[in-house]
Amino acid sequence: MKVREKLGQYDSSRPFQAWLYKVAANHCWDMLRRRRIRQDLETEGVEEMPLEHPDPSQLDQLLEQRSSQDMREALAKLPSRSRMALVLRYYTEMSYDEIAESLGLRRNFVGVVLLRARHQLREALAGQANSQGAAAGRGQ
Amino acid sequence: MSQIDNSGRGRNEGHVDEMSCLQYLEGLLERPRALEFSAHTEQCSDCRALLRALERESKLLSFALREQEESVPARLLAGPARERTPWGWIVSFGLAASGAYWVWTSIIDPWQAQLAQAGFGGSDLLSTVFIQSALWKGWDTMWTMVQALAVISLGLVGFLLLRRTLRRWNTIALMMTVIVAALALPLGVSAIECHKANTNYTLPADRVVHDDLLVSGQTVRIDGTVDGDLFIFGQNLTVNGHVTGDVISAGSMLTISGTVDGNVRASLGVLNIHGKVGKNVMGFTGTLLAESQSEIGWGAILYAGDATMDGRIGRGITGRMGHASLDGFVGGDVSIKANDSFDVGPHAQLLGKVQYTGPSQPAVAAGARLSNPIDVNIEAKTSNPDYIFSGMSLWHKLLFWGASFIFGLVLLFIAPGFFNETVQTADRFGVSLGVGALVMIATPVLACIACFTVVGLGIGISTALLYLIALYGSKVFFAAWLGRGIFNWGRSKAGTAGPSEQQSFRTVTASGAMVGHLALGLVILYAVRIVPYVGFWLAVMAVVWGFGAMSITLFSRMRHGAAAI
Repeated sequence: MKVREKLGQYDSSRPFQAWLYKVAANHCWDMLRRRRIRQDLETEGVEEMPLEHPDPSQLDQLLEQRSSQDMREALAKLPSRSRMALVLRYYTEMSYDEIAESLGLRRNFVGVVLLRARHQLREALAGQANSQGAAAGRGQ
Repeated sequence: MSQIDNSGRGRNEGHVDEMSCLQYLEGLLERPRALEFSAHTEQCSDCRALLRALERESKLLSFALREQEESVPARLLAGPARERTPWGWIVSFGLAASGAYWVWTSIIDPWQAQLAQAGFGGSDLLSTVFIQSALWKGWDTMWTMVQALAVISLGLVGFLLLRRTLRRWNTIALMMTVIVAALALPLGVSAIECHKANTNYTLPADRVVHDDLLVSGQTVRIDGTVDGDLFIFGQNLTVNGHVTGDVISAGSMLTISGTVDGNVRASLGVLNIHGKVGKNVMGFTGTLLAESQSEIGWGAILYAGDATMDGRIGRGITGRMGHASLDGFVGGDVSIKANDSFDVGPHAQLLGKVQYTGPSQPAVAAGARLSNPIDVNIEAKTSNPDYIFSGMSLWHKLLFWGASFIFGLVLLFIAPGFFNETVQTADRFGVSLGVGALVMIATPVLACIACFTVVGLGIGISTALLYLIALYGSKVFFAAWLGRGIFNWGRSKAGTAGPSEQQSFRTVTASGAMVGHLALGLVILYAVRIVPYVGFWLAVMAVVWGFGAMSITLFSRMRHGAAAI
């Protein structure tokens, strides 16, 4: 319903999916904002974020031979707010300030949210690789 | 969070953390930290590798998202377009257009026709009123001045709007405008003989005034001759002599026993005509008595509480009265709307058509001679509950609502800043009402005073016209204020208003929302107006309130200069 209401504002020169994500995100955040739990959700576990130097070779290996399709499937498995943060940054190319405004976050938390989303994405990609490896093993 | 860990613990040993890498890639690190980071990565292959991996991840992410671009299905775009048809606007404009059409066909056009019947002629109302001097002999010369004043007013408004950028020139512009206005103001009214008497004034029978004569006093008696127009104001006014021009009068009672070659235009408690009027009589009077020996050469336009016309009227009669009585000769058509009753006496001789609208059948005496049967239109009194709640009354109110709404829309879109500010000013209940009452009374008084000064006739008339427009507009501001208050109250009850909005309604409202507020407020205003007596006084209060808010806003803007309108 929300998408139908907003379709009149869609700029056809812009990517549809990003726009769709944005509408959905705004709607969700509106609801969360009303319940006054948005900030709690966004900042929960910030202290638990790993502040470390990941192994570049492992990351390279994970990204190796990953297709766009794999990436999209992994994105689809992410929690909605993480997926939205990645879409706003790497698809609509919003600045951190714009993302903060769009998601109703404090500016300082945007980086944290993006980093956490990347970690979740890697976990999803790793899960895909494991299941594909297992399937290949069963096939042999 | 950017840090290069030299503690030698875990994977962070001597390396930068991932968050810092990301911020570096995004160009978000401050310059000193970015330089430190860059220097480190030049030496540290592990960190360089991490940077490359993260960059690759970002590109892959972007590519994956962009690759999936697709066009929007046409059916999705087409569906909502139909739903977005602005029915509210269509209905509002339709009602407004219907209202305008109704006002023209029901009020202006019939009046125009009736004016023509009464001998005022003219191809249109404007030319009748202004050009052909029906209401004011001096209009021919005044018209040029009115045009000049209109241009000057527009210039003033323009300078007001540009005041911020033309501040230094503003004073000069105003001075120039005043000079131009002074030069353009009427020369025609300078040739006039004025007399102001504290108690009595009498123009002797043997005296002839060869100019226009303006007289005011408690008792004024004109026994002599005025070779021009006579302006006469006071309590007991009598014209026994001869006036070659028009008589313009205001006061308690005017008796015309002599001869007036021109027109009589009067706003009086009582107008009593014994003598002869060469042209037309136009009167706004409590009582009009045209006695049997009286003679009106042309026609009569009357708005009177009680009108008795027993004399001779060369052409027609048009008017609205409480009670009307005809018992003399009328050469033209008669069109009368009476709130109470209409009598035709035994000596009446009506040559033209007679059209009557009123609450009951007219009483026609046996001896009356009518060329045509009276066209009677029985219409219930507007104060009658049956009429108030009739479909026609409600339809009229709907049309008036449409007209007010469209007026408000024009105001809102021409000057949204002023509109919003006025609505906010209306929050100040007491001040708005007080200032409104004061300005509403003072403005017409000042306009009248201006009319009687040498330089002020045009200014007075222009002020009066603007005053009428402002009176109409004031209810629009009040309605928008009322609608906004109800909207905000509803939102606060529903819990959707922010804390600041709950504390105060004094928030600037977007034009779209203001349109909704205006529509709702006008509906309530017209609905309340239906309630007998109370509704009338509430409507008066709304007008005073809105007028006050508008006056305060205008005054504030004139003092501080116009911001964005």
